[in-house]
Amino acid sequence: MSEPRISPTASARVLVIDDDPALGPAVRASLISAGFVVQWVATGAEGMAQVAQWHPDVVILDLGLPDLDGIAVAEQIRTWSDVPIIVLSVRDRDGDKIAALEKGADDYLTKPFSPGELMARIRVALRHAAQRAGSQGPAAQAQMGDLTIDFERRLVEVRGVAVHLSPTEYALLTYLARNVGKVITHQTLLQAVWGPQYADEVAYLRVAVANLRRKIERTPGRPELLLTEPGIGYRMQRPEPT
Amino acid sequence: MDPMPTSAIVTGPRLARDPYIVAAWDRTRVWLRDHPERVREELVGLGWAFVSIILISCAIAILRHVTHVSNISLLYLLAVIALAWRFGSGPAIFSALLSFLAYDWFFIEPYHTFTVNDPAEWVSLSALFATGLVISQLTAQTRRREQEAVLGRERIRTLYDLAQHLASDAPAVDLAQVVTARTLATFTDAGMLACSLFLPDAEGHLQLRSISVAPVPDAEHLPLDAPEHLAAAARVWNDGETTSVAVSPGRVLGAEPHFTWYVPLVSNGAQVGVLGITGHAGLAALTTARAPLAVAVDATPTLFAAVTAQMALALDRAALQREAIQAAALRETDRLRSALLGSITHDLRTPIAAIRAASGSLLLPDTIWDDASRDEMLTHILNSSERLARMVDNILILSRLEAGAATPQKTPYLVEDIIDTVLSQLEQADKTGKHPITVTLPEDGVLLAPMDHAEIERVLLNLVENAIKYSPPSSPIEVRAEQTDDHTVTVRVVDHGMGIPEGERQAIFDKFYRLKRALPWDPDQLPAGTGLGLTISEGIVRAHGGTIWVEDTPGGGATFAFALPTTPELSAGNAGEGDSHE
Repeated sequence: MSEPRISPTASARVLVIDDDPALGPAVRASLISAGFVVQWVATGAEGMAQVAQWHPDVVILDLGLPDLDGIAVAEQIRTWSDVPIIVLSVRDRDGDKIAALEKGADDYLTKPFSPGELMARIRVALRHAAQRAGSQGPAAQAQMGDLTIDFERRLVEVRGVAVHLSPTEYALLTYLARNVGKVITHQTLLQAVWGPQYADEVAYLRVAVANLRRKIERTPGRPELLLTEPGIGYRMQRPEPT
Repeated sequence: MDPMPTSAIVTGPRLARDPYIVAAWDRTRVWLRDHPERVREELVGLGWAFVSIILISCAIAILRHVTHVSNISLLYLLAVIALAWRFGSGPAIFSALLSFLAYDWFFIEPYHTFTVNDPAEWVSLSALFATGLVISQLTAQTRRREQEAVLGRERIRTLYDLAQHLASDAPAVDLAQVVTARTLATFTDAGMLACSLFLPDAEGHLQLRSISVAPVPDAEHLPLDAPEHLAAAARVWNDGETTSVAVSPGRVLGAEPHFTWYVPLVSNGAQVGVLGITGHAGLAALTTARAPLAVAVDATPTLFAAVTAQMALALDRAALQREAIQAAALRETDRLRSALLGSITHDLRTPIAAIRAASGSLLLPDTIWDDASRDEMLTHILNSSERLARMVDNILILSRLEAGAATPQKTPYLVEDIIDTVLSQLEQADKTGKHPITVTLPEDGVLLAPMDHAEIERVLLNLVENAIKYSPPSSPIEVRAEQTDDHTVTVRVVDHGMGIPEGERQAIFDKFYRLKRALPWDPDQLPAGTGLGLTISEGIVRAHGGTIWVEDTPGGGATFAFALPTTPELSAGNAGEGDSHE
């Protein structure tokens, strides 16, 4: 694993595994001009080799690769590396994205996307990776904007005021908080919080998320912490310090 | 031999191949076997002729003892008339002959011989016989005419009933049902056990469409859907000849063999289908216009011909109607398609022209653009390409919706997730046009409805974009969602723009409809768009079983709303979880 860098974005190494010729020039140019060191490979096999040898700080992985299944590549990489993986996929392939996320990918982007979107996702991934690497063992406390979670005392506070959560809501919140920045699929959340037999009870999750938001979000209709990934799952986001 | 590939097909009673006389005899024999009641009646008639002549002879003998009556032999004619009326010409002729013999035997000298001495008696005897014959024929004919008139009336009534049934605007499947059921009902008395109908499908292959069976035990086990039946029907269909084939005697309905005859249904000289009738051998009489001598009185074969003609006509008309409907649908699709093409060609060209012009300018050799101009052109290219992508999307979605192929993949989804996703999308793309957009959700309770989130996001995106487009800059926009009742969740997009006049509230959902007025706050520009957004939104909401409409915003402006059906269970789930508030 690479050492945590002082400034997460400066000269971070980005490995792109994608064979889409239309994407190449523009994305590469914008990545380089943003100060990233870019390595670009077109096949899954080369990509895995590069992850092992070059130790990138973030991997951009297209799910439609010529040689290997992108989902399998993500799964393979995850067996030996914690590097954040952002998967790229065309629209209407929600199933692929969900599978990749459940096999270890951290985030996804739907093609076509703007270079700005990609840049933002890379920064978020690098920030969370740096925080994970900086902390020793499971944190006793987490701070996200107005929200404070004390894992040991099972205490949740919003702007210093204790908030009463149901056991389900607390389990949901802590699961998302421990995976901050990562997109967690509906199925993963349902299995982790409710149990394996509830994997398809999406309505339970929806109701719990809505109620949780009413307790922790400033404006539940426009959440800043507990974000929706349409059709995929939910993600806990640490708001950018303003 | 028979070219039919299956041995199950046998020749029924020989019909068309033999010389007519033999065939007529065959048919008569068959008829006699199949109509024992008629044979019995004939025999009863002959018996009555015998008895009545004896009785009249006795009466004459008694009368002659009492007094002399000239031409007393005329009494016999009473019997002849009565028998002709009751039993028809056969027994009547027999009685005329009997009366001739009886009068000669009993009352003309020398008695008890058939010899006649007086030539004058010859004349009276012959007159008696001739009168008997004539009267018997006349009476029998009158009787037959009367019976025919009754039959004719029945036939007309049957055909009228049939026409009534066939005239109903039933779809073709029902019509096939009507055809077989009515044919069977009409000819059950003639011995029909089942009726089946084969019609060509779209590719012209004959398909069994309907079977009706008489309410007799085991009739439903007739193997009318067996391959050999289809083969026989197909042979009639392919040959195009008015022939009949008899198909394997079944073993279902007792020991007596039965047959199925397949007759072509012909309308205006073209075949429209094949009708199968099942019954015992006697039913063959139906299928031929040349009725055997014995059933000359029977109007059933002609009725059958009339009924089948009627059926063929109805089926033909139904087929023509279907074709007409399909043709009309095609024309409508064509019309829509060309309207769509006409409308989008212009809309597609505009952004393409913009992209070309801007990128061409940027690539001009020997020209150095300042940063501001370059940014402006690049922004132009970006916006135009986004507009193009949007239009292509819309057209694809519309064609999918119109083809009825857009079955939503519904899962329980939070309405607030939809709202947040759409607003985040607009904010990220910097498309909110400085409008403050607020979200109003119920204080407690969760808005949950089964939906295809991507589709409903598209609906809400369309509505919010319209609100942005059609209301003055910086005017507030509100997205409000609520649970209307246990079964409905309603989302409203409230703007403070120019509103939609009462008269246009339906039309705005039509394809290519656009508000033609200039925007008061930007008089130089008509709002851009394909005129498809609301059409698509309506299509999506409808596919979800919901409704979409527009109403006035109090104080001015338009409020677009859509309601999605939900289930009480999803609504109830909220109440249970909403208890843990501080």
